[in-house]
Amino acid sequence: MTNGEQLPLSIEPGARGALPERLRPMAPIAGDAPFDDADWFFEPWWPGARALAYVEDFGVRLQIEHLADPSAAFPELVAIGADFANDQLIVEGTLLVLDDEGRPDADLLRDRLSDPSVSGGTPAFVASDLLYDLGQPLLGLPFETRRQRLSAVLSDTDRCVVSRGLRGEGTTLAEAVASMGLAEISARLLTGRYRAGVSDPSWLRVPVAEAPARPTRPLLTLLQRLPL
Amino acid sequence: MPRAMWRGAIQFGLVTVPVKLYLATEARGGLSFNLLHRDCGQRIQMKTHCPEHGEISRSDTVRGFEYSKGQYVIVDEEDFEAVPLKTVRSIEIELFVDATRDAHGANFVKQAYYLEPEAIGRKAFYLLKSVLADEGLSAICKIVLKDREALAALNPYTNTMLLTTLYWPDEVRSTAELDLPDEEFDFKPAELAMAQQLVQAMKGDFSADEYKDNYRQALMAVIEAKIAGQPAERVQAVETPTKIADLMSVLEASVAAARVARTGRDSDDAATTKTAKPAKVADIRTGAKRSRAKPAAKSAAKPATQERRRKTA
Repeated sequence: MTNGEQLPLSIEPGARGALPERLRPMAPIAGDAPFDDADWFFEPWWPGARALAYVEDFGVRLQIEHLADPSAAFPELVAIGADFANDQLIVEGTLLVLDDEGRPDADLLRDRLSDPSVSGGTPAFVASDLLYDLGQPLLGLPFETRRQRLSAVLSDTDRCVVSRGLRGEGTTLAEAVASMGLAEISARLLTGRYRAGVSDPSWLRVPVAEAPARPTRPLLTLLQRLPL
Repeated sequence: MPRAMWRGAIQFGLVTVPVKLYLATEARGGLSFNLLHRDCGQRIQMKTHCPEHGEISRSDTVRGFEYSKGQYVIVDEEDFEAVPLKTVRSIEIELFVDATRDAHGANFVKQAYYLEPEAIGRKAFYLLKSVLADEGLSAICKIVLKDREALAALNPYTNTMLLTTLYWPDEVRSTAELDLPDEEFDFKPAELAMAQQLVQAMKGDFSADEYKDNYRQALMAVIEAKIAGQPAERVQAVETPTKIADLMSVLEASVAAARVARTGRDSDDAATTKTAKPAKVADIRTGAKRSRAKPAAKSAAKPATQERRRKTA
């Protein structure tokens, strides 16, 4: 390395393990209702397409359901590899398309996926899990550790962020998510391993309870504009 | 009509073009305030005060130059007028240079002035302007302003010309004291391509009208509301949507709101639901509580509860 203590901007190819060509994603199990449990981590089930992002040589390829690659539909995201501090990563997350008001819009997303020449809305990638780092698999590590590694390699940008969530307080998060007009939350067991291609009870997809009758505080003005 | 702050003439070769100078900009960065006495609201006075004679009149002051510690020589108006400078009352053009800025080190600008030609010199003035514009040139000149000879650049500007005073080379600090790297960086083609792509995407025409001093406007609104006798209203944060980071902020705000609603309800309830201290949003993200030990027995009890939560898909 010529740059001494510089960040690894010039990683030599081959020095890290190569990524697998395809990884079958883990699948959640449907849950009944939000719950509170300190061993679990809760985040919104973002209304978009679950996706794996393979960051290789600072370029990126995407993989959604049925192992398809929708990269052509998201030219704005071709450079998100630059948002990560490391190379040779596989990141799991959700592809969203935001409307002019910053809300996730399922129609805009569907239009893009069905016709890559459509360019409406602002696409973004919300990262939830880190499966490979520097070419090394993290699948056997607990979710909590993978998540910490994810936060360490990704600083938020305008197009790529780490999803926010709460440890333990599933019902609080569900209320918050409901007030945003979203319908589901994701619950992950902090000790859970990543089981590629398998449905596993350490990951639950939980519908939020019915939204509270009405928001109780004026500080919700911003949010009241959000119901979908 | 603003007041001309200088009258003189542009001199180059044998040509003399009489002009006036006007300040091109005004400092409105901050609103200015007066200091008042808290108890009575009177403006406090700044008095000229001599340690030996007490208060004195401002007209009894002179300018002194400290040539060594505690030793002054007094410099008065006559001395300033006696300074043997050729550039007094004239804008003396020294040379013409390529108008691209870094070509003549004119990056360090003090103040800009508009020029207004006197009626008698208009034709020559616009002739000079048109030559500068056509050739893409700047005129480097000297001018005496406020008792000081200044270095300046003269450039065409809309329907007049702009005189910008520059710092003398010895006033420009060296970059040597900064911690700048010596080494050259190697950029991979992919990195360069990425950076270029980003720059291309953000390219546009600069139109200064689109930018405004939001702080000043907001402060002015607060002041005007006070004048009108209303309590100043707190300004709401401006939201710029269509950024994914904002969606995360919305989530954080709604979690906070859900907590507020919840504490309201809980105050009646038993404290049991509150035993878990509220975790920060994304505390895994910050890793704030990562080292909390979990009793192993708890995970053994887990399967039963999971069974209950699970639902046949």
